[in-house]
Amino acid sequence: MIPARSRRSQTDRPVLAAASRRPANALSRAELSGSERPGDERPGSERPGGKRRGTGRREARQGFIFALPFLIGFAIFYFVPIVVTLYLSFTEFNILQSPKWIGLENYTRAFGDERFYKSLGTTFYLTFIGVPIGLGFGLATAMILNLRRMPARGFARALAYVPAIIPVVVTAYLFRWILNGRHGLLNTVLGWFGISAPNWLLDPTWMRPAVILISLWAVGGTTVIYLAALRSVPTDLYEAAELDGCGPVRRFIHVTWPSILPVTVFQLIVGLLANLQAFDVPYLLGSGDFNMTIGGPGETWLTYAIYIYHVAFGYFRMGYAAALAWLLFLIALVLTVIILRLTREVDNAE
Amino acid sequence: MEYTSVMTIIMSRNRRQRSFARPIAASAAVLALLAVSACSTNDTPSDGGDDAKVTVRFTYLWTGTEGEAVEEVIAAFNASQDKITVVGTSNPDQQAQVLSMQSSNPQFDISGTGNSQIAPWAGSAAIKSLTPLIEADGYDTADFLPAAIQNNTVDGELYALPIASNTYQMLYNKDVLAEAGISDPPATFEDWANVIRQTSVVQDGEITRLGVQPVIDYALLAMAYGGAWYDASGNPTPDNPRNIEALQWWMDNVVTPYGYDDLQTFQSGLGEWGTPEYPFYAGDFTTMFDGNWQSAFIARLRPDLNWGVAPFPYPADRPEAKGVSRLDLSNLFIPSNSAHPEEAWEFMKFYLSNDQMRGFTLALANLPGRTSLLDDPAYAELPNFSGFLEAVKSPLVEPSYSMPFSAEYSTDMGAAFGEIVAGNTDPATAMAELAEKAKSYSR
Repeated sequence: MIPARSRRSQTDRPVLAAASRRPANALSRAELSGSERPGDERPGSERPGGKRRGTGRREARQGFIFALPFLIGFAIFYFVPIVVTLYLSFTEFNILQSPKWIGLENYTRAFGDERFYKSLGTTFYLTFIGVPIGLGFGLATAMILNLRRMPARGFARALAYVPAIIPVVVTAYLFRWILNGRHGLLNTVLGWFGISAPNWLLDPTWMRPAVILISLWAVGGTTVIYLAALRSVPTDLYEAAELDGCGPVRRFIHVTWPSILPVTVFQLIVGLLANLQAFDVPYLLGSGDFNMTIGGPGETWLTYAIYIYHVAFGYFRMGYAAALAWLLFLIALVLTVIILRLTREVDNAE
Repeated sequence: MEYTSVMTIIMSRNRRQRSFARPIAASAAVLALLAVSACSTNDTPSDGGDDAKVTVRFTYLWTGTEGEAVEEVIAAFNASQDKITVVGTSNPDQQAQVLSMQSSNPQFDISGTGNSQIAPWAGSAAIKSLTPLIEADGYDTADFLPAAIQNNTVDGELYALPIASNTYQMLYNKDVLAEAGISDPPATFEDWANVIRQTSVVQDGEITRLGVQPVIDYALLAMAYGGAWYDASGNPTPDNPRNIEALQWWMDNVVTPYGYDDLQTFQSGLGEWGTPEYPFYAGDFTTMFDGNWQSAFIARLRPDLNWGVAPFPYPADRPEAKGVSRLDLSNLFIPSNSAHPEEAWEFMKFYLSNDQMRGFTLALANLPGRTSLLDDPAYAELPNFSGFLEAVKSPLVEPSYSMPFSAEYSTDMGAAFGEIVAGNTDPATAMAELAEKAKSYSR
């Protein structure tokens, strides 16, 4: 009897070999990370050495001039404030008075602050549970929309994207009623099936899942990117897989998934960074009452970004807020590096 | 250049202490200031212009119909003037307000704020003392609410004057009380507990009416019970025994009998604030703590509602607590970097005059900042407003204490109240923990 692993590798070989051929229009990781240099040699771009170098320099200069407005804007509105926040993170600063240098005190304070951990916990929950669910939902939606037999495909695709362009404030207020514990649409529908639904917006157990649920509403952006990726997978790979006797599941595992992996990594990183900064929906849902609560009952919606905002503009403790922001930056950096490394290892293993 | 402008920030205590630190730190704020100035309708202070009038820029936090009432005052002032023109800008962004006060290119010459900012802003030299202007003019401040004068005085200098104020009382539904055979609003906490029991309705395990709002301002509840959140020196006192008793009273009479989960379900189905479906208007609850603005709101949204206003209940063993409430002020101030402080003062005096204050507060259904207006018959057009006007006369109606850590303290209080009503802790433990935490507040 042939061991399962050997058996699979025998039958998979042609498919995997075919899958390893990169589709002509699929994005490479280098392209996604923007590491492909503009001067790289390409067929058809060859010119005599000196002339080519001169043209390249001129093009580089022109490119730089075109990029200059962005670079100036980036320097003024991003780079300088980022550097300033680094300085502020070592100070006590309430805007009205001069910053007072306090060394690492803001950083050490964070590690003794229970809201630091609480808000980080909520942020991680929304990130590590919400992002995979969002990607899965986006991919599933994209696959459905990519079906050849899908009726009114163009209309359905447009429809899938519409929620993504609805302003987040509208979405949050809409869902305040859809998820209402007493008269909400969702609970009414669940009630038809005899399901005793929770109080989504007031019960701390369900408040964070509710935010993830709302995020699925606006998954259209993820869907559209996945749809483009799915359409870039060459059909000959699927034909080869079919000839090798692969069913839909194995076709997905051995053809579709490797082809869309770079896009998945891209979406994973973008989703991760977006969720680490989650602010709008939890903030709108949990806007304070007269008891000055932040993040709703049990401060369940207190995300890290909301906490930074609260410390900065509620307490006017700019130095501490800057330190919290830098800690978030370091967390995001570490997570991004881990994801890229893991992806590279998976890639190498294949 | 903005760096230079930032270096001339007016508000430092140590003006002579120039270091690289300050401009760098403030440059982040410059970006926001650039944005603010880009959005501003007023570019720079105009000293010239038509008929060489001085332009005074007045940025106020009111919006909508309240903002329109401000514009009416401005129009009346401009019509009365041949030397000053006031230009009003509605901007509810308090952060932009603070950033403007830090800039050498400020966006306003006069503005408004509540209770809590006066002391810290005065301490940071961000706002101008009005005392020299008052003394120079011989302006009489005796008529302003004593509590407001006390709140706005720092080290003997008066920094702001109240154009309006707000306070809180118990509002009750007369029809529901009558149905239950209760003729008067609850005077004591015991009476109130009886009202809650008598007027709450639970059908098939679901609360359909509650004798009180399901979530209350617990800090105010404790004050009504004779508690206090600060001592005379401004130190936090969450573990004041009366605070704990008040919270326990709430647990015993509201949360425990009706159940936290059922109260949450009841609360989630209530109508939105500012709509005719607001639960007090719809008869979903019988009593609530709320402010004088409800007089205008109810007249507009539910004119047929049969409601009344009464002082907060007091504990039977502490009748001297009758008349306690909180006073929220709307103050006018002049920032230290005002380009035209004298002209701004002229406008402030006009705005604070009896006629303008009366018209303005009537439009907003706010209480006046002057004691002489508390008996003014003009307010009779607002239903039940007299209950609030009377309340402000009580010496027990005071602005809440304001300390640099107050915002943090309030947040921690809110979190503790949430834990108590959810049944995760008891009032005594929660308040003891809060007292412990309060020790770490930076002053």
